[in-house]
Amino acid sequence: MRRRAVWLITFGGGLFFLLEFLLPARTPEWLGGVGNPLTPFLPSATNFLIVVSAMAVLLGPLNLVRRYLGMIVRREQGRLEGAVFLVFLAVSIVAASCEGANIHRAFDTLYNALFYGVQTAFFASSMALLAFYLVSAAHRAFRINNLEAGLMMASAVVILLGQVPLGDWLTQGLPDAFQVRHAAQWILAVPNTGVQRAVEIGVCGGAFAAGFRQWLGIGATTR
Amino acid sequence: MTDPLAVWVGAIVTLGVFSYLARDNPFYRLIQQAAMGVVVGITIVVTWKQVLQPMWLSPIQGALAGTRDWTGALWLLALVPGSLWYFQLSKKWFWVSTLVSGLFVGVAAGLAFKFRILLILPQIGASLKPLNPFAGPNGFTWEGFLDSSNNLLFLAALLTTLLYFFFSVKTENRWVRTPIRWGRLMIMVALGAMFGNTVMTRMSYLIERMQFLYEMWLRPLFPG
Amino acid sequence: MGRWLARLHTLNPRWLYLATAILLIIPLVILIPMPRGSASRATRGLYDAVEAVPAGGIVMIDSSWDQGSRSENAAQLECVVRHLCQRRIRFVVTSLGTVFSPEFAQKTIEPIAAQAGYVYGRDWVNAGYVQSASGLAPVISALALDFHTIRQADVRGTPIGDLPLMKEVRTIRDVRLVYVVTYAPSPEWISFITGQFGTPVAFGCMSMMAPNYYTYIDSKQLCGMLIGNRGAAEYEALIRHPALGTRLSMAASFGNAAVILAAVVGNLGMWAARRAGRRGA
Repeated sequence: MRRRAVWLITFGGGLFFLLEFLLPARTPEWLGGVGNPLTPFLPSATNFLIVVSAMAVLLGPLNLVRRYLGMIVRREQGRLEGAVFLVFLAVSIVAASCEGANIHRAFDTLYNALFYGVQTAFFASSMALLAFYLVSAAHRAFRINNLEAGLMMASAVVILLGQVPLGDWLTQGLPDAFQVRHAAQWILAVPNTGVQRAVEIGVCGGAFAAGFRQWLGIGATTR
Repeated sequence: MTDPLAVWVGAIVTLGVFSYLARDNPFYRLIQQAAMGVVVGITIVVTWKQVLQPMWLSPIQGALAGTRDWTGALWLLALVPGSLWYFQLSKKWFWVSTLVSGLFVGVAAGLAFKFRILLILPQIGASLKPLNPFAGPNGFTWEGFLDSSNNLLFLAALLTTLLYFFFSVKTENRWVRTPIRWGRLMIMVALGAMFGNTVMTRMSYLIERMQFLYEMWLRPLFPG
Repeated sequence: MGRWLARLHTLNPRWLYLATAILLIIPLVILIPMPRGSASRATRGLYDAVEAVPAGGIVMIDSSWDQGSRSENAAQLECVVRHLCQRRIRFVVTSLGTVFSPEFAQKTIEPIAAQAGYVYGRDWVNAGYVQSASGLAPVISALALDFHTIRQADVRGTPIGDLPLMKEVRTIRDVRLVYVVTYAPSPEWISFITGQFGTPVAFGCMSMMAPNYYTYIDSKQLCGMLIGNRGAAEYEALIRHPALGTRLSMAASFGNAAVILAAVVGNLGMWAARRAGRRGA
C-alpha cells in the first residue's frame, strides 16, 4: 500500500512533465488547432514544487541543532565545536534578518563580517588548499612511465601554457599558427570534443534508462 | 568588500584555514564550525525572504485580507506536502517523507527525457562533418584540407572512444584492438586537457585568496 | 649530482607549499607585462552575440556563482556587464539554485552599473534567488514561459511587476540573449532555452568545466563561452578595458608554472632515484 502510494505520486509527477513535452505545442488545423493543454499549467506547477521544496529548508538545521545540543548536554567530545556552530547559527539568523532593514548600522556591519569575513573566506580558502595539494600531487604522483602518461602530460602542459600569458610570451617569436594558445585551442576543439561527445552520447543512453527506471519505479524499495 | 571588520575577519579565517597545511588543529575546526553555522543561518533567512515570503506567505495574507485573489488562500494546502519532509527525522514514520521525495524524483525523471533529447540530437547532427577536401566551392585548398583532416581526427576520436566504452565487444580481435587502443590514446589527450584546466581552476582559487590577503589586508596596513 | 637529484623525489611537500605561495605573490607585488594573445573562438562568439543585441534590447544573466567559484566567475560577470553597459543594453539578473549568489551579483554589478549611469529598475534588475525544485530543469522551463510567476519579487522584495524593466520581460522571447555564469552551468539551459525557443545561450564557467562544454560550442548549441580568467581577460581585451580577469590571468602564469615545475622536479627525482637504485644493485 505504501509502495503503491509512493509509486503513484512518482509516476504522476513525471507523467505531467513528460506529456507536456510529448504533446504538440499546437495541433494541426484539421484537428482543431488546439494548443498544448498542459503548458499553461507548467509555471504554476513549478511554483508549487519550488514552495514545497523551500519548505524543507529547516530539515538539515533541525538535525544539526538536535545533534549538537545533545552533544553539549551529554558533555561529549566535540561539544565546543557544536557550541560554536549553534552560536554562529543564531547570530547569523539575527544579522541576516536585520540586514538591509535600516534597524541599526551594526547589523549591516555584522552581516558583512559574517558573509564576507567568515563564510566567503572559509570556503574560498578551503578551495585554495586544493591548489597546494595539486602541486604536491603533481610532484609525487604524475609519473611519465608509458606512452599514455606521456601523452596526457604533454596535453596538460600545452593546455596549461596555452591558457596563460606565459605561453604567449614563450612562443611569441613563432608564426601565429604555431603559438601554444592555438595548440591548446586545437586540443580542446578536436580530440577533446570528440571524446567528450562520445561520453555524452553514452551518458545519454544511461540517463534514459535510469530515468525510465525511476519514473516507473522499477527496482525501487521503500522502508 | 572594504569594510575593515570584514577584511580582518576574512584574513584571520583565511590564515586559519591555511594552518591546516601544517596539520589539523583546533583553531581550524572552530573556524569550520563557525562557517557552517553562518551558511546554515543565512540560507534559512534568504530562503524565507526570497522564496517563501513572496511566493507562499504573501498570497495567503493577501487573500485573507481581501487585497488579493481568494485563490491565494489555497497556498495553505502547500503545508501538507511541505511538512512531509520532516518525517525524515523519525525512524518509525520515515516512509511518509518518501511521498514527497518521490514526487520530486518523478518530476526529475519526467523532465530528463525532454532535457536529453533536446541536448543530444543536435550533437549527433553536428558530428556529421565534411571529410572531402575537394568538396569546397573553390575545389582543393590547404585550408579545406586542414579542416577535413581535423574533422577526420574528430570522427576518429568520437568513434574509437565509443568503441572503447562498448564493453560487450570482445577485444581479442585485432580489427577491434587497434581502434580501441587509439580510443584510449584520445581519451588520454582529453584527460590531459581536463587535468590542465582543473589545475587552472584550483590555482585561481589560491590566486584570489593571495590577492585578497595582499591587496585588501596587507597593502592598506603599509600605505606608500 | 645524481644523489641530489634523487632526493628531489622525496621532497617534503611543505617546501612545495611555501614555494607555490612565494611564486604566486610575485605577480601581485610586481606588475610583469606579458603579451596577450588573440581571443579564442568561444570568447569571440559571446562578444559577437552581445554586439548583435540592439541598444535597448534586454539580456538575461543567470549569475549563480558564490564564494566557491568567485575566483573566476566574478571577472566573467564584470566584463560582460561592462560590455552591456557600454552598448546600453538592459539586463535582468537571476540566481538559480544558490542562496548566496544574489548578494555577490549585486555587489559586483552595482558599481559598474552606477558608473555607466544605469538606473535600477529601469535599466537593470536583480530578480534574486530562484529555488531549484528537482534540479534546475523545471525552473528553467517555467521561467522561460512565465518569468513573473516564478520570480514574484526582486532581491529587495519589490514586487516584480512594479519594476519598469520587468513590464517588458514576461517570457524568454522578450530576451535576446541568456548568459549563464556559474561554476558549472547546467546544460538544461541549452535544452530548454536554445533547444525549445531558439534564444542564444552563452556560458561563463570555471576552467575545469570547459572541456565538457566545448562540445556544445562545436555543435553551435552555445553561441559563446568564457573559460576561466583567460576568457575574462580575452573579453576585456575585446572591450578594451583590462581589469580583474587580466590581472588574475597574469598571476595564473606563475601558478601553472609551479605545477609544471613540480611535475618536472618529481620526474627528474624519480629517474635519478631509479638510476641510483640500478647502480646500487
